[in-house]
Amino acid sequence: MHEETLVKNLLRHQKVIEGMLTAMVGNYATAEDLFQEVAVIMTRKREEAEEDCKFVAWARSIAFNVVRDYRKKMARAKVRFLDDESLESVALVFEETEEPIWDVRRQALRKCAEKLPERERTILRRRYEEAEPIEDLAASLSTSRGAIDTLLYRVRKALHQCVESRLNQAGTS
Amino acid sequence: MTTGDADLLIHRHLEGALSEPEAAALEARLKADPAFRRRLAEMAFDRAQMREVLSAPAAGAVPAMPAAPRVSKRALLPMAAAAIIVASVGTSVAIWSFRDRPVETGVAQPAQAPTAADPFRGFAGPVRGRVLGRSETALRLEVLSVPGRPGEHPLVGRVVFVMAGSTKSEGGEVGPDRTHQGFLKKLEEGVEETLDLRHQRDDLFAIGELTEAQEDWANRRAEKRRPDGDREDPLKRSPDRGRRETKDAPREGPRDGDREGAPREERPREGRKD
Repeated sequence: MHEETLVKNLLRHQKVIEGMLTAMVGNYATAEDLFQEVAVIMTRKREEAEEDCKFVAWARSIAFNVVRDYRKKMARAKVRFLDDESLESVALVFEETEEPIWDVRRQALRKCAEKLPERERTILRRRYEEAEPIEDLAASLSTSRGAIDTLLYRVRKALHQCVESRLNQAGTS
Repeated sequence: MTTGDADLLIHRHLEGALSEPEAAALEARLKADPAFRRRLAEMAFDRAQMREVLSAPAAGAVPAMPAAPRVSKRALLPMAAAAIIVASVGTSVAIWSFRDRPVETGVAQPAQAPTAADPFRGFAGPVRGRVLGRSETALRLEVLSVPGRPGEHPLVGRVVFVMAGSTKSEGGEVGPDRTHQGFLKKLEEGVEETLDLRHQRDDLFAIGELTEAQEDWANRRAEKRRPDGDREDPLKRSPDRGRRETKDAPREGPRDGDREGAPREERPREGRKD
């Protein structure tokens, strides 16, 4: 694969691959780092890949090994990782989903996020854009960790329902 | 298990907060329930979109000029990939091979007419778009409008790649415009910006010229301002706190995911096209 094709594909599929890694490791910050590793490996191996290969499928197979290696390295940490079968099963969803479906989903998510009340949007931003720990958020807002966690759960669920509703209306879900 | 229970399980997984019994329940559900797998995939995808989605101005807000100059090293994905390319190919500029027909900033280009196969051939002018992704030297831009062109321009709604324009040094060498590169590096995902673009080939464009304000911004050191104003609101993060790891999942340094010799599962599989 030519380097231009590789870089274009990495840019084009970055969020899908990051989403895949997030589903596998349960932590977006880790997923971002692992994505860098996936990209480096793909770059090293680009000459083995055909110009028109199934890019996400290729990324999935590399991501699977990267996550397994990471899990092995983190064996002593108190972090519970999914087993191989679960990793594989959720990663396959990304491989099997056509790119336009993710594109439509992203647009729907953006529309739904725009409608969030400013307070909720700000808390989401602090947590998910700036990776602020829940404990710090709770302390700065003089509330409990549980209250912040519940709020995040409620807002994410509302966002997901809003996206589903939009996709259903558009007949794309 | 109800949908609410399933969503809570997924939420806790994506927050890195699963207990052992919850992790076991998640695994069992993933193996047995395709709809649950899809739901986890969708919510994880939503999570991965969050920065871009939240960076976009809220409804009714007036977007500021090059908005958020926070450069997240992690967000610049192909930096690492580009570094490898530089090392392996020996080029002086990462992804420079993007430009085998470079645009030289300020140098007149011969007029080219669009063709059916290449509808953007010869395009030169302002394009307003939203940044969907970026590398060290290239952007992925969703075109929102083409100012000054009557009617609906075929570029609107398309996703294109944008790289820095090139410039000629005093010694006559053509290279990437450093100011353009600095500008591209600063643009965050989700930001909307108007760029003067020159078509290269297919869906690849190069910056023609930056406005004075854009050049100033590109050459300035990292700023702290954001599209939604200052950070005095107690809901907002304090400025002295850098971007950091969540406490939920500690991380280590480089990992040995690269297995030379390409084991079977690292090769593209036959199957559905992605």
